[in-house]
Amino acid sequence: MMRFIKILGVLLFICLLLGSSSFNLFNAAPNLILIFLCLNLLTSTRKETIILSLVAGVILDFVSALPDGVISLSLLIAVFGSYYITSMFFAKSLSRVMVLVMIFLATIIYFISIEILHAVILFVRDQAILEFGQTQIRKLIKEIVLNVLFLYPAYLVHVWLNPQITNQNESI
Amino acid sequence: MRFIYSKTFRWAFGIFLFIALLFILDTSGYLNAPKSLVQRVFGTVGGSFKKVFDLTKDTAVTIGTIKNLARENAGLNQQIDELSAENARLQSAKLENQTLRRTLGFAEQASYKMVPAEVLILDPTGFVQIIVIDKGEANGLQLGQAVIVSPGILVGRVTKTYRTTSEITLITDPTMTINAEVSDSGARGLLKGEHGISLILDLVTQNEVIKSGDRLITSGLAGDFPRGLLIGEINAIKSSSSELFQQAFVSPIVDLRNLRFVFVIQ
Repeated sequence: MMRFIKILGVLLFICLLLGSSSFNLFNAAPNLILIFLCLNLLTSTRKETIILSLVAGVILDFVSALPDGVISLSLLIAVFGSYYITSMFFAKSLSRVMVLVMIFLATIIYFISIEILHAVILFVRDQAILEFGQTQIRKLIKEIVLNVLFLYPAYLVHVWLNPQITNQNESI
Repeated sequence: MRFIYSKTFRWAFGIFLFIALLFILDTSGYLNAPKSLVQRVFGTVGGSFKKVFDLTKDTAVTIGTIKNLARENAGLNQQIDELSAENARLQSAKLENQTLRRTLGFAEQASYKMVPAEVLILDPTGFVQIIVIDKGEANGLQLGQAVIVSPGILVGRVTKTYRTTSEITLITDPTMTINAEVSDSGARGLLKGEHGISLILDLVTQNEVIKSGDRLITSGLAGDFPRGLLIGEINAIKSSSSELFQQAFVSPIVDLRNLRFVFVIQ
């Protein structure tokens, strides 16, 4: 329980940082919440990851101007989607490559999921749907690079919160 | 055991219900009060983080640029002299304009009533270019009102209002279209946002003269924004004789990702 509260605290802190836009680099920001949730799913239970995803998602939904529910659902789709895809190709034990691939896939799935859900809601509300063009592709590439770069610092924080991980998964 | 009785299905169904409820409550406006509260809390605490970040960044930048300060100071003094002279000329032109307007019986240009506001949050997802400010319906804010920074520079429009907070769509959001005019040549076009990166001036006919460095102002044609608000500066032009219209890439005058105080024109 204590561990869960600590992780929740870190996620809320990241939400605050994101809200303050202090993490913007080259007009993009690393999605630390997505990284944390992916790491949490790899090292903890699905139930816990679902609850954390929904809490962080609802806060981001409230703070962002996207229709409510879009970020919550996209986070869940990205985290679990990337997990199921990577577990089809990798062994159950954790490895650096597996975590990297999972973050890479999660970033892409999250991005596409938000774009699709947003477009569907705009369509339902009879509003103009925005074109998917070069600007979004550039943004996606920047986010993938930033997420991969910020994966290791995020992993260190995650290990600091869960000291038992290092004993279980020496390979990482 | 049938799938619908499985634990996985129950979880998936629960999540689906939760998100559907969230969406319905948001659409019907029942979440406005809690959203406004979360925005205020996150805006205030996040703002404190930003101040610490900015202070650290400013200190580092100041230390890095301290050797150039004397030269920069001389340059700025020269710029002040030039601007003072230009200001005097413009004051004289303004007086002349007012006199001529009165003589010709034209209506006086109205001065705006402005509501100052502090920026609480910049949309953290980056998928939409929206900021949240600390003034809302309680302060008389309404949908569609123009938002500027102090010297008459346009930054966006009010697109959603809560009781004590409001959402402002920035000019760089792709949903924004503004009737714009080049201040020097009077060429007109339609300005569109480009996902927070820049703006594109479109539908400028080939016979209009536009060049890099030209400044764009609101034309006030559609009545959505008052005329004469500064928007940005042209930094590149895309023109081809085979095309009906020419396009220009425009950079906003202010850094829209670092806004702290804005004014809403009422």
